[in-house]
Amino acid sequence: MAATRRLQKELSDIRKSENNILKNIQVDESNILLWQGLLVPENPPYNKGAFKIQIDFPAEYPFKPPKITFKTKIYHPNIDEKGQVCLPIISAENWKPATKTDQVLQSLASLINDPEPEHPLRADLAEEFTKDKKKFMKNAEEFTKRNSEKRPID
Amino acid sequence: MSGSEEQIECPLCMEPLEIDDINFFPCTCGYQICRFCWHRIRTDENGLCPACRKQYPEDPAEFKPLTEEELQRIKKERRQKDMQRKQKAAENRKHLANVRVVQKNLVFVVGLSQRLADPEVLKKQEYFGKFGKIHKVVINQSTSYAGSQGPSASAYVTYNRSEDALKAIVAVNNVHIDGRTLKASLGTTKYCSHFLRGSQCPKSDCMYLHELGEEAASFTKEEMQLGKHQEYEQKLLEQYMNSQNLAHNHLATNNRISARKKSSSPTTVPPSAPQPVQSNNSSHSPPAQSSSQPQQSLPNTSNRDAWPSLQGAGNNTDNGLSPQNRTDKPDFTSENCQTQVNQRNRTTTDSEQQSSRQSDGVFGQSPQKSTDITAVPTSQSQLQTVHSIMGAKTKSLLLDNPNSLSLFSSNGFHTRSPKSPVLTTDVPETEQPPTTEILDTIPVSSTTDWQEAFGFGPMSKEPNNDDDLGFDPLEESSRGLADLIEKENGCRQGMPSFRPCSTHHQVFHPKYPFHGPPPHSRTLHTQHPQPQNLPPGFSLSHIQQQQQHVNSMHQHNIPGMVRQELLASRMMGFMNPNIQNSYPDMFTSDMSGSGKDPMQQNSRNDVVNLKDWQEGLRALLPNINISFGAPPYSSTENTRRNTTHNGHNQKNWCPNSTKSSKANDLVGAYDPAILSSGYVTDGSVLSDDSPYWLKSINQLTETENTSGPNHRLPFSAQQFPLRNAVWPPQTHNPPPGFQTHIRPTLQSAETRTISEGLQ
Repeated sequence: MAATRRLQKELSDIRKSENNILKNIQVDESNILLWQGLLVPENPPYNKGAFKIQIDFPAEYPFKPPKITFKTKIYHPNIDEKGQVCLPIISAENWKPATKTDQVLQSLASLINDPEPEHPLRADLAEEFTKDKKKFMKNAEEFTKRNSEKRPID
Repeated sequence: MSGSEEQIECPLCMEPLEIDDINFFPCTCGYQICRFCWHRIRTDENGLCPACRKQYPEDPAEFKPLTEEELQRIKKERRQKDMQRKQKAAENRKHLANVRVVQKNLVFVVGLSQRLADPEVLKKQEYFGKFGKIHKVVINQSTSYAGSQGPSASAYVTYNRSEDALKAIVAVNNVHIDGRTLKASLGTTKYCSHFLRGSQCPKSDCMYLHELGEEAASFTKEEMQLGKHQEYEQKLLEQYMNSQNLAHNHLATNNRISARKKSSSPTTVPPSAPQPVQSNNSSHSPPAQSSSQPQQSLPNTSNRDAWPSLQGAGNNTDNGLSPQNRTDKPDFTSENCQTQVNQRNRTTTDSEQQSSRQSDGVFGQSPQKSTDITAVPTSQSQLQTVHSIMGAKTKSLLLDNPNSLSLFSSNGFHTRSPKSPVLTTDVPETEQPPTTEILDTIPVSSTTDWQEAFGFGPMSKEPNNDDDLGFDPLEESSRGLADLIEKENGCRQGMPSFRPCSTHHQVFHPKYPFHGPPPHSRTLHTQHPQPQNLPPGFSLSHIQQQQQHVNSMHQHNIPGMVRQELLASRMMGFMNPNIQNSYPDMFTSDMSGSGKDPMQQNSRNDVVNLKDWQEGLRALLPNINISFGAPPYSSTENTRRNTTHNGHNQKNWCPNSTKSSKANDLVGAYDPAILSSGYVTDGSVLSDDSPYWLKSINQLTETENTSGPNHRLPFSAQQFPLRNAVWPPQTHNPPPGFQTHIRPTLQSAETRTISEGLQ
């Protein structure tokens, strides 16, 4: 109950806010614990496309953190092939119930825009990112063009 | 404190903080949560502050319990605020508990038999489904509304469109079915109790109101007891009718007619249906049938198929018509009814037996007579037959065309379409034997009950009038009907009655003039009228005779308009003592070339015995003329006639019109029949006929030769038995003008008598 009430409020707040990090938020009426949306990074090489992400809120939310997974493949050191994200703010040990989903999304956007090769999920990409940024950018851009979603028109 | 504090929520669970949470701060960081979440974090979770992730101390860092005084004060304030809020909602909506709102898309029907008291049954096409898309049907099995007609259920039928609801009311109100009289009106709905309390209604499909209804449609119980909501409904129905009239004058008239027909049809039901068909066929057939297919009847199915297409054609033709013509049509119909009524009054003196005999004889008689007969039903029996025919047609239509069952639409369209074809049909040669379309429809006795009930429906505008009528008319009508039935049953069974057809034709004819004589329509007309006209009982010889007459008429090139006018004038003549005068006018002026018809009529008039038949023939003649009508007449003449007719019509339409009263007085027992005849002629007949015409036309065009004969035979056979039953029901239908007054009594009496006589 607590999760539903809080998520309804968070969802309406996010939808009302003008600075939407997550576009096209889709929430099933019957299950407010599952959100889907399009992440539109601002920085290259990811600014050529959009990435569908899914947010799973546990029933214990906000006492337990949500999980974020990428449904669109992305060439990123902090996101593995399964779409799992290493986002400190929603890690179990760092989770603070006071954190709002909006903050989580901001954190996610900054992670995508600015990869953190220090805490990689894909070491090869992290290495490429640190050692041959140019090659990484080229690969990432091609990968994005190939696999990413079309960016919604505002 | 109170104002802003009330809105403070726990940031975790988003629940508003309790009074005693307001001063509760469990962590030194000052992050405030409710004690419920605090307790949960400490017991089930990691025990860290949700904001700063510091371990929660054993005791809250800052908790200053409110003093008793503060608690009391806050509680008091809250209570006051709650009270005020609730009072506001209550004041806004409390008075609504006593208010019922008339729902424009909700039909409340009373008098349903157990057989019909099923939502799925009522949703069917042959019942309420025909009027439009139904959103929901709710049956009330309680018999509290049944009144004196035995156990019966009521139903709330919610349509998606308000027009459909009005349509249904017009058609169903006062229909007699399963021994009960249906009463239909707009339903009222109360406000949902949840809405009145200001809370959300948990039912997803709650049919009660959850928002304020229209002020004009809202009535308190007291107002409803005064009948205010009925006045409102009346207004809506009138608006509906007016809109129909404005949009399509023809259609509107047709609708009325159809409604009347419907009303009449129910009484006639199965037995009557066959007779009327025959009569119709005879009247129609003589002109149309002449050529190829005499008595043979085409398969009904083909007619059905043609039906829809015909309607469309009819509409098109209507569009082409001048507005004046359209307006005139309705008048003509009413005039016809009046004339019929007058004739009836005159003929009332004649014994019913004579009339029946005459009718029989008429069939056997020369074609001319047969044609005339259709036009004017002299004897009550004839009238009844006409009514029955009308009813049968309507029934048959309903039965045959479940899809097009919507009485209004089908009738209105049909009537127009048939007329237009008739007008254009200058070619007598093409005439084919009257189609058995009508007959086809008639045989369907199973659905007759419902149809009949609908037929009674014409009352639409004045549902309540029935009560006003009183029982006297019923008794009279019942007596007369019983007598007539007894006498006529014997006579008629053997004899097919063509008159009903004639009446139908008449009705159509008036409309035809409006359509004018478009060139294309001619072919249609020729095909049309003939197939339809053939009555089951008609023999080839009769048809040929009729054809000859028709041919003569065609030679004269009587315009459809003229014919209509002629009909109207004839009707007028019947109505007035100047009948003979009217006839000459009709023939001379309108007919221009058709000297035969007037001559025949005159001679007939002279013969006393033939009076009834003559009238019938006259009525038939106009029909025939119409069907044959070729060249378009001068619009001016038509308009003039129309205007005069209109005046008459208006009189007739008036429920309290003197004419109606006169008719009642004169006829007494006969009244019902008269009324029914009037109905038929006015609108119902027309509407019914038109569909048939269309069908017949289609059939002719498609399969003229082959199909025609087959149809006729089966129909004729079926029709004869039906006739007996049909004509009594016809009596139930009141004339257009009289509908409201007479209907209730007539219907009840008629139905009773009929049932008795039949059984």
